[in-house]
Amino acid sequence: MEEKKREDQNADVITCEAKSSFSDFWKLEDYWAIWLGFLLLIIGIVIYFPRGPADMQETIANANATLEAESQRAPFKTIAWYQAVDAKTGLKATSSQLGKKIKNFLSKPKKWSANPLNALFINEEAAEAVQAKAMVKYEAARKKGAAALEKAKAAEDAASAAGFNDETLNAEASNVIDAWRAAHTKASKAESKIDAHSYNLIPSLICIMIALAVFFGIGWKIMGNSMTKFMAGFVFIFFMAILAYIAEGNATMKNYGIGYAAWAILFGLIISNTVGTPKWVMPAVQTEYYIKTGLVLLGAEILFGKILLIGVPGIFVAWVVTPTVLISTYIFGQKVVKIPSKTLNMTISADMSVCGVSAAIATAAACRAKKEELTLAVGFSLVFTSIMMIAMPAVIKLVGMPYILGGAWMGGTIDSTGAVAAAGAFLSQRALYVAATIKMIQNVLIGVIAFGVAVYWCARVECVPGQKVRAMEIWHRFPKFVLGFITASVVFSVVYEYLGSDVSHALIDHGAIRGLSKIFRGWFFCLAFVSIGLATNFRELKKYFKGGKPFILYVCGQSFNLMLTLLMAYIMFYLVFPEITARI
Amino acid sequence: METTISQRGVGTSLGLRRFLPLAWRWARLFLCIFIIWAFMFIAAPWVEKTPAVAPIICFIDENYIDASALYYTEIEEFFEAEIHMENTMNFAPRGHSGSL
Repeated sequence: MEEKKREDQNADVITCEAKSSFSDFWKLEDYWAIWLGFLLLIIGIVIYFPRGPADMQETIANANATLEAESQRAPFKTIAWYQAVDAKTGLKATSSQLGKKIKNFLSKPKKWSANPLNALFINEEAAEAVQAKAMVKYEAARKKGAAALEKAKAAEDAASAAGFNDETLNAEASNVIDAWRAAHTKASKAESKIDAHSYNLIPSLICIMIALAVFFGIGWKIMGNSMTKFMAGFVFIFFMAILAYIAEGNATMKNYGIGYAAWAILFGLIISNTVGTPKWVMPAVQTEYYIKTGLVLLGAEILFGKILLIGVPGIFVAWVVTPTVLISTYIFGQKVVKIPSKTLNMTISADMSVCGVSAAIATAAACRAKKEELTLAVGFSLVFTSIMMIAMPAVIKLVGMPYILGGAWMGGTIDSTGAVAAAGAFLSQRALYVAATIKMIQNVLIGVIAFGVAVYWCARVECVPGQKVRAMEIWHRFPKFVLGFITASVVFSVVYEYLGSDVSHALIDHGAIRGLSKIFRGWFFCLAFVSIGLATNFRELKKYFKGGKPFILYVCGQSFNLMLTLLMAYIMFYLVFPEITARI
Repeated sequence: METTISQRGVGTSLGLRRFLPLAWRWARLFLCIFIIWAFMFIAAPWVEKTPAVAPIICFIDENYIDASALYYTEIEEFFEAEIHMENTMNFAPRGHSGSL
């Protein structure tokens, strides 16, 4: 599509006359986002698919045989059942030698408490101190885990001796095994911290910066721009992205759920609204270029097979309530609150009803929202996520709500994915499993929402009222990167199902995705958010707060979301499918 | 169509440079850095210790949960939940007295 942009001097308005040509394939950033995203996905597949653990098939077969036998032997999940699951969980292509090297090389700034420089490097002496501290924690957790296992074995043996016919002994064994799992999880996490060693991330970060500058610069050059100017500005953008990751790594900020997205926007805003964004940086302030490439990579993480994880209740809570809330909030925003900007209305609605920042990014890009609108949506998500993460588990405990219902409720309503894990785990491990599963199913919805919004915007919003839009016109206007996003999702979903979930966990989940594409996707989103901040004026943001309309929209939408999700979760998990709740 | 997320904010920077003296602009930058420092090292740790917030923040810290994760692939707890649910659905306990 050739976009002829005419800037209105007063209103900063751009008009588009859309038509397509063959040269779009190398002249449009939408297509470049697809080519670059696919390139990284192919590299991930080539690296990790041949590097599955050597005994993978045998381990899976043995674990499944044990699971089948244990499921028939006892009316609850036995110790052997959990150990078989653990055996499958340990299968990861990222555990290969090359996988570990890649992970170390692509490591982003690490967690720190008092000294921000520890995010980038730590010497032997300091590493030993960290190791010693972690070892004390691990020893305590290991002892608790071992004691809990002994108790669990005794309780399971007692239930087994009664032929699993004594309901009281069965219930007691199930509870004691749950306690062992909680202690075991804690010990496993503590164990992962004891191999702390010295590091210096500066050389690898410089390499990543050069690689990404060339990676994006080539496309930029072929699109007819100056690669040299782009690369000079990119150094500054990348430096700001590192600062955002360092801020995210602060232990206190991490615990509040304040991630790199918020820091990247904030740091960019501070620079642009104080000393001003240097002119030589502006060629690299390419928000859409980074965001679209990141979204193509995100497509590979949208695996449709996961929507059936928890059966029909999960689909109803995540895939019926969420679109209902999204559409209702959008209509409410237009008809009642009368939000002047449709794109702001849609971005906030998606951010609030689907899954926070990631949904806001995808929707904003699909409907071509303004950068200030995305900033606002991210800000709301940040504030409300922190509040809900703290308040919801407290309310659930206070009113004595069943934890599985509470988990489903939080999974469907708390915006941010990380906050869902924190709030769910705070209640119980089963609450975490339900909350995480519901949120994961909701995460997958991003693909459908982004595609639907892109089509709706092309066919209905960006056209003259009353005028019928031809199919070709929709095609011309359609944001093409969405095709790459959907293609990546469909291809990875098909391969995932073809390989089977056990093998896919090892080669895709803990291979091509977590081993490569997820890491780059994080960098690309971070670069995009820095760019948004660097190109935004506080005064432009202020006008969106007029009358508090976005706030009213968010609060009303979230209130409706809270009520509908709770109602649906109760109906599904306690009235229609209580047998699924009992299994969890 | 209005300016999309791709559009430039050159005007922002140029406008600022034109109207604000250099010293004042740098002073504003340092003020912002100070506010962030105060939030990160004074206000947030203080709120962390209040009775309403302390339990969950302590829990997150002790259990190494990444509460800032944006997507399910960024957090290990989601993978554990997925594997658990998958195996619960495929190998649900159905021995003697019914499942628990």
